[in-house]
Amino acid sequence: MRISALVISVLFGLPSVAFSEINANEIVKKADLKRGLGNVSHSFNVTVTDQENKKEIYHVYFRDVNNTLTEQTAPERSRGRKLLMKDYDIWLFTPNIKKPLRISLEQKLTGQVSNGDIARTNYAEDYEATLMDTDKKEENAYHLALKAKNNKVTYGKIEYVVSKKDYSPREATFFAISGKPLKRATFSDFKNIQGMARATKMVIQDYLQKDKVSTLVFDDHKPEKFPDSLFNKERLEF
Amino acid sequence: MIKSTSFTLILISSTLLSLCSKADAESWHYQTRGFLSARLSSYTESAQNYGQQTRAQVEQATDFGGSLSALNQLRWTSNSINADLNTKSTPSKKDMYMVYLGENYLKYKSDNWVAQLGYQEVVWGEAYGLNYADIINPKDLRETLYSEASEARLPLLLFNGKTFFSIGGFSGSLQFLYSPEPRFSKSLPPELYAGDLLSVTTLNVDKEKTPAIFKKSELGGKFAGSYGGFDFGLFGYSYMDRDPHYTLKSATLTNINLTEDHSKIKSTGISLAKTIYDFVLRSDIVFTQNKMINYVENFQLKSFSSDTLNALVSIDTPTYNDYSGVLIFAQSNLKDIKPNSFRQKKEKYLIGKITKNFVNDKSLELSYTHEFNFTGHSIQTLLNWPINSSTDLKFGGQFYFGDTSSNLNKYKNISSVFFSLKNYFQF
Repeated sequence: MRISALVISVLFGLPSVAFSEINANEIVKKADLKRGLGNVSHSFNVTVTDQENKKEIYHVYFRDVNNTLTEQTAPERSRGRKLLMKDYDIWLFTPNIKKPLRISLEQKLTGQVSNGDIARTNYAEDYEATLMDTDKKEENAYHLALKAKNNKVTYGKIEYVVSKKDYSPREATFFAISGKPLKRATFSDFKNIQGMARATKMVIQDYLQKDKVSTLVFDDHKPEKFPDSLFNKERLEF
Repeated sequence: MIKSTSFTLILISSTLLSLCSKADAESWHYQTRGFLSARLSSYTESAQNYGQQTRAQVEQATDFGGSLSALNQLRWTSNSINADLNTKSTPSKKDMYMVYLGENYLKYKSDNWVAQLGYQEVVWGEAYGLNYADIINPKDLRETLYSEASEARLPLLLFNGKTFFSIGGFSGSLQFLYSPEPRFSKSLPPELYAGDLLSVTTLNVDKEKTPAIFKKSELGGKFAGSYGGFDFGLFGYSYMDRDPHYTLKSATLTNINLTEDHSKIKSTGISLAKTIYDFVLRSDIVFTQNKMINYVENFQLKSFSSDTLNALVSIDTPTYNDYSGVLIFAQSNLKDIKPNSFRQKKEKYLIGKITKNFVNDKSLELSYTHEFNFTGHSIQTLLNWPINSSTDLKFGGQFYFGDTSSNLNKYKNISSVFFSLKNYFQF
């Protein structure tokens, strides 16, 4: 496929950009698999620790990139808070309000962490990738620019560094739709989960206030089937 | 006797279930948790110096290992607001302290439906802050605008069944509610609504008792759905009015004895929510038939029946630089009105609220409520300051003022600055 694309581009003088863009999106897809189980129905836990060592724990039900339910289990004051993301719609349920409330996608969950950081982790679905030409290249790494496919996603742009060796994500810099840099994340602690080495730790640092740091630890990934109704906003109260 | 049967229904099914066979119980999961909270207010307008409110809740959640689970809550509350607002009578002990069963229910969850039986809280509508569609549960009206909604809601014995479906991009639900035991709101002193219409020095009220189980019933349902960034709900409920109207029992020159009464009413409504860019537009419209309203004619306390239409539109702004806001316009209309009524024909409010979020769930809220017709104002501030993962500290102020006939000015005596402490625990 790649060879035929190359032959065609040489023969017909097509811009090499088209070829590199196909590759860039493939790289992002492979890197996505190193940060979760991909688009397979599964559940996992996320522990978020901030710079003051305060912990928040979430359980995530992931059916596909368009159907995720996040339930907070700690601390006690926030127990039972649920966040349902269905396509680009998002609802928040809190035990005191006792009904699901539609909210906008950009609402933050905690500290430096956006809803999308926890529940919408497949960049290939939301962003169009191109290989970057940069002087600050890390060795043996792809430098990618990920541009939002629409303005409903969490970030306007992501600069993404992925290992050439095994497509492991190394770091990402997140930008607002306006182009303003927001935060930087590094990926580490690769562990064998469901037959593949995957990142279990993501450290997110505010771009300007470097002392604002949140650490996300992902664990307990389990392939699991969920009924349709789990992702129905009217079921959040139960 | 009959009452104890209703409690037994719930407690046998849940608490006792959780205490039976130890072998079976190995696959069951229990969790006991709760909170303690205390608030101290310093009044700025009243002759009273201080007001207090304390609350405690203990609950046990039991997961029976499959689709069955239970929740058992016990609540305690002490609140001086009734005494602080009261000018013509001494409130009963029950208006000051209360120990009661909170939510106590059994829940069965299947893939496509859920059934819940017991004392529970059900909330309809899309708006928050001011929610005309929150008609199912009675409320503890002593809780002012600053309390969490869950603290003002009182549980109701319900069979609550809900089924879920999806067709293409449309997902929806159909809900059925039946209550064999209507309950009433914990109301504020009647002189708050009557103002100077009842010009006596002492006012006593005989409260209406909760009807015995299966003697009166309530029935309703809701159809709700979401499609393409749009949520809607259509609902109807036939129930005993949560708010009282009064009849005259006896009177002397200085003393009036009233009897509290609650009539059967029916509410139907529609609620909508739509995301527009990063804004969220919400609306609740509720039409209620046969609501009883008190009025005074020729020194006689009387009541008349009227339909009411309550409508609310609100818009939430997205968060910019940690600031977010909400703007609410709400209007309550009576179809009919009599001179010297306990409420106005049209009551209109505009509410604006700005929240600044800080790190670690800390926030500062500032809100202003403007009442039209008889001009009234309310300003509220709240600094929410979690100290650690289990303790919240809050500082705030709430101030009510305006035209003497305005609704907001009626709360003038509880204008105050306050601080509160809430501790969550778990075993």
